[in-house]
Amino acid sequence: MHTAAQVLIRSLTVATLVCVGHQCASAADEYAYDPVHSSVSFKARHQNISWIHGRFNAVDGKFILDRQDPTKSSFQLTIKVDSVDTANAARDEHLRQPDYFDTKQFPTIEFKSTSVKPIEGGYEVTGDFTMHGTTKKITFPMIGGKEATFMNCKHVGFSTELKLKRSDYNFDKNAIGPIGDEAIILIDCEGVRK
Amino acid sequence: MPDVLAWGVAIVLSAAASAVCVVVFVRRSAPLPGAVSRLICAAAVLIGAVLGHIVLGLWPNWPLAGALDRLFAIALPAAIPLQIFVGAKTMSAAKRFVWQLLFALALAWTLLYGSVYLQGKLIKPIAILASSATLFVTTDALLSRLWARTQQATIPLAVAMSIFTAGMLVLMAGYIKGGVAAFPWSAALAGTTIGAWLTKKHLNLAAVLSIGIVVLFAILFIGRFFGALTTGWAVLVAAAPLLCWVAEIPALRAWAPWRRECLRLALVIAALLIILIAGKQRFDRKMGPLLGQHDNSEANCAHC
Repeated sequence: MHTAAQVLIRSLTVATLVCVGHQCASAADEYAYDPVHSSVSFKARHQNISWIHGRFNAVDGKFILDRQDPTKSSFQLTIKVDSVDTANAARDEHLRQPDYFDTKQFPTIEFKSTSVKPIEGGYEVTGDFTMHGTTKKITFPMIGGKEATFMNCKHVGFSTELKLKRSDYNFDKNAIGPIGDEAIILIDCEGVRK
Repeated sequence: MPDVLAWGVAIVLSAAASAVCVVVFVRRSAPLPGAVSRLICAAAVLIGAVLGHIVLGLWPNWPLAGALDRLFAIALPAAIPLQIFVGAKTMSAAKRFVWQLLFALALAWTLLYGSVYLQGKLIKPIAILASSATLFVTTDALLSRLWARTQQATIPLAVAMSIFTAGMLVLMAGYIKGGVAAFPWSAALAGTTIGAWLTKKHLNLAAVLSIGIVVLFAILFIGRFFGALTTGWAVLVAAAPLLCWVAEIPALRAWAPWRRECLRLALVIAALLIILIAGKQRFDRKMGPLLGQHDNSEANCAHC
């Protein structure tokens, strides 16, 4: 009887561990956007002779990574357009006005993924990108996904580069010229979870 | 880059078109019935302004996105018939006040629709709507009263000049399209007024005045809440036409009418010029480096 009880206990323990292990392996991990170790920056042509660089300082978001089934992963980002910073206060004020971003009417730029598929080095993400009141489907690679543990928190990082045309997002056509239509957006982000 | 030549052409064509409309529509010298007068004035202003918009390529986007789109697609088409209606002599001052108050609240709400100002706690939008509506109805009441007393062309002309100044300030504060949008309306209002005055047509310019006040407030409102125009500058420009009241002080009543009208214009022009000069100085200070206007003195040249 003692032996039968021991076998039963061992069996139950193994079964429990298998179940828990299976759930850990298949559970999606949610990472919050880490603004301290991330950046969203952009550059656009000026007079077709040089580049103007800038960044957005107020960004928020999250991504859910399901390593068992990457197609169930998702990425979400919200940028407060008022936080645009090109290292020149007068230009930043100009960019906030309706000739450009019109931040009082369209305070955020948003991205929400609709599908994710694994590729070499990361994921190919497709989703709805909303800027200046216009939403378009875009697809881009999110390269990265390596995880590091620091101070009891897990960090994962991704990088991507997007090319967008302001004319596709209902920006004022008269304001396209001195500043080029196409902007290159560089996103280097880290997500963190406990 | 801003096309200053196009702006000039739009202004001249708008003013000329409105003046020609006055000459063409009013074929007789005897006074016209009030409603006909107001309709002709509104039509002349509208034709001149639309011509200016064609030259500048300024049209509302579809779907409507920003405040300027809502102004030209919704607010002004609603404002023009209403201003013709409230300009009737049979309309008492109290009824006009109520209509204009309701219109001002609706105008402000329409222009702010979908923006950050209508989000969050209710106290903020209520404060904005109430304060802007108060400013609008006060200015409208004072200028309409002055018009009823004097029936002088200098009053709508003062409003037309204020609209141009408002446009320049909004433009120099960084919202180019918003500022340029004022130019055809300023020119059309001035053209209608000058056309009626020069040809001695017995046109009641009340509708010109009313439409002008709406456009003035709308441009300043958009410049303040969506551009970088400060509240102080917006209030100063809105109040500038009220300087026309100075010529009504008892000490000046003995003056010849032409001297009093010259004084009205001179006071408004002086005030607007001071505002424009101050605005230009601010523009040179803030935006100069962005436009490549650098100080090229030797002391600042690192490689000389």
